[in-house]
Amino acid sequence: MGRTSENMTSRERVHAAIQGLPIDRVPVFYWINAHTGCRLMSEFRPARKKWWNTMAKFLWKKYQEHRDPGEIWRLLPLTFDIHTFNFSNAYGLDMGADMCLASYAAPWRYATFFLKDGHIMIKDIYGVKRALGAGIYPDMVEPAIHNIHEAKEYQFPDPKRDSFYNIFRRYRRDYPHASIAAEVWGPQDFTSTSMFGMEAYMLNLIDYPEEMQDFLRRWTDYHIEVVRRSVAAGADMIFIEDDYGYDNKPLMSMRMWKEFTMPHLKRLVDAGHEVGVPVCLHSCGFQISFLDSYVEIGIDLIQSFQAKAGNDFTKGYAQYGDRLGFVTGIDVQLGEFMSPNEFRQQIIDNYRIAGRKGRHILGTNHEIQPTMPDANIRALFATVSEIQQGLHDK
Amino acid sequence: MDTLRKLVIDGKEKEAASRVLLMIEEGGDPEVIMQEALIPAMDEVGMRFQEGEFFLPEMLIAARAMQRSLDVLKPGLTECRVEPLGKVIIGTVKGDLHDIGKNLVGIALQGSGFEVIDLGYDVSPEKFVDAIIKHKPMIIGMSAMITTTMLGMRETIEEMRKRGMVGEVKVMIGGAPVTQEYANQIGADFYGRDSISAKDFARSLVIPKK
Repeated sequence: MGRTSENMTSRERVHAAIQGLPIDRVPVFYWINAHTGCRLMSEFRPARKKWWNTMAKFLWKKYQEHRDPGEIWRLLPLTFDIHTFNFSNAYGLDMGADMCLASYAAPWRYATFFLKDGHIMIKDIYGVKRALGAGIYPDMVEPAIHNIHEAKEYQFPDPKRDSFYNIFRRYRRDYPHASIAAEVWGPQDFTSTSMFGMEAYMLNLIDYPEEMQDFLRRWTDYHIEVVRRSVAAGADMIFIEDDYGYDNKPLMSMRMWKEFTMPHLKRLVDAGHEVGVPVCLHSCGFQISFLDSYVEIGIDLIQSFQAKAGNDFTKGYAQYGDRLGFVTGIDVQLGEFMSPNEFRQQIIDNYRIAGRKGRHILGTNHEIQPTMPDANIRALFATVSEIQQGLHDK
Repeated sequence: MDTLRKLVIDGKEKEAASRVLLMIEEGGDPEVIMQEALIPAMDEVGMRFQEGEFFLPEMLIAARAMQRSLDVLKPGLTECRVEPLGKVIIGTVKGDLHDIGKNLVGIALQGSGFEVIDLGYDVSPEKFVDAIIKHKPMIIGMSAMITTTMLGMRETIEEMRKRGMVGEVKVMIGGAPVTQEYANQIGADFYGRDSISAKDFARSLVIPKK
């Protein structure tokens, strides 16, 4: 988006907030998935690009008519989003956000499509086989690596393929003043849920620690190259995607996390800083146990900080808000089940925790799902718009 | 018994299986080994998990040690006609392909003496109902990871209601988006926030509280 009616561009606002410098208003981040993007463009507010709206209307109508898991229409919003036009992330900017995500390797991320037992299957660039269920995410059904010997031999895709980074050039051209965060996979989540499978991953850490450290080093080397090239192509922030917790506790002990995840995470953070951009970490689940370590390795921002998982934004910001930024406050996970008024009040209350003090980006704590009731969607965007206009500053 | 319990808790699968074999060779009663070593070991693992001492990796290695020990013990249990505490059918609902939470529930139930029939993932209401007719379980457990798929839990309960199964078979549900409120709304008997609470619920149906 261009220069606002205030006196900062979106990008200036985001970067100032990360550093705790004065801002004209709180920056905003909307995480919108492909299906929700289609729904919002067709039912709520059109995107800036007219042909996106035409496509979104068609895909959303077909999706509503064909909801069975085997239907190809379930997959098409993803195909047109992640794999080709990446419209949902950018649509957030059209809706008034200051920052958006962009995924490298679009449109090649899901390299191959095929049919198996009546299911549409996908093989991604890492070799993970996926299928689309009744949900809207292509879930792993066969990992890329089946045993520790395959881990040693595993060949990564070529990170130097220049066209992998066209998405950043396009976003920078279309949204010159926005903050564009390049998504990269952290050392724990994608490796566990997709490359090995969660159970095999956790058992391998115990049974084959040296081999797993070696794999994680290579994994991180690969993504450091992605970081460098994404920034060179126009990204001004790195957004590390990982998951370290579930409700009220970490997935693994802090001892194991510090041994197997933290050193590799630090290398990714250092890589972002070396090319001059801040680093945001996304992790679902309980985060309180990790905050000291995040500060120690220099993470600039964390995203999610879900209340449902046991995170208290008031306490977290009070204790760490001078050293660590938070992208949170629009709790779409709880908000989906609230009344519109409750949802509205929740956003206002969370905004007032940090207000315009900095190190806070008012953001959705996960992707907005297409199942969110219409009235709640309207409450969300109306409330954030009021906040952007300064109507809820005390 | 103490040694075997400790081996399972520490996840020493080979040593635990060898220990069970030795105990059987020395004339140990399979049911006593199960009741006094394996089940208490998994109870201890569950307790440490709930208290924040154990995490997913520790649960998984203990479960693997338990499974290896059970494999050695099973022929003896069958020979002695030791009955399981009850049958439980578990599955991830239609359209949902996540299964680690469901697997952990299965492990906890097996480790607690239940027979578990795992229908896997992407399980339709019809498939759940067919399995209930075939296996006559005391409980079915449904798991879902996302809001769009958890609706399958309601559909399954409605399908059970149509067939007059509600009340006959207890329904427990769990998964990341699932809440107690949702369980109440759809008429599930129990919402389990983790595998241990699911196991505790199942045991509460067959073992009266002291």
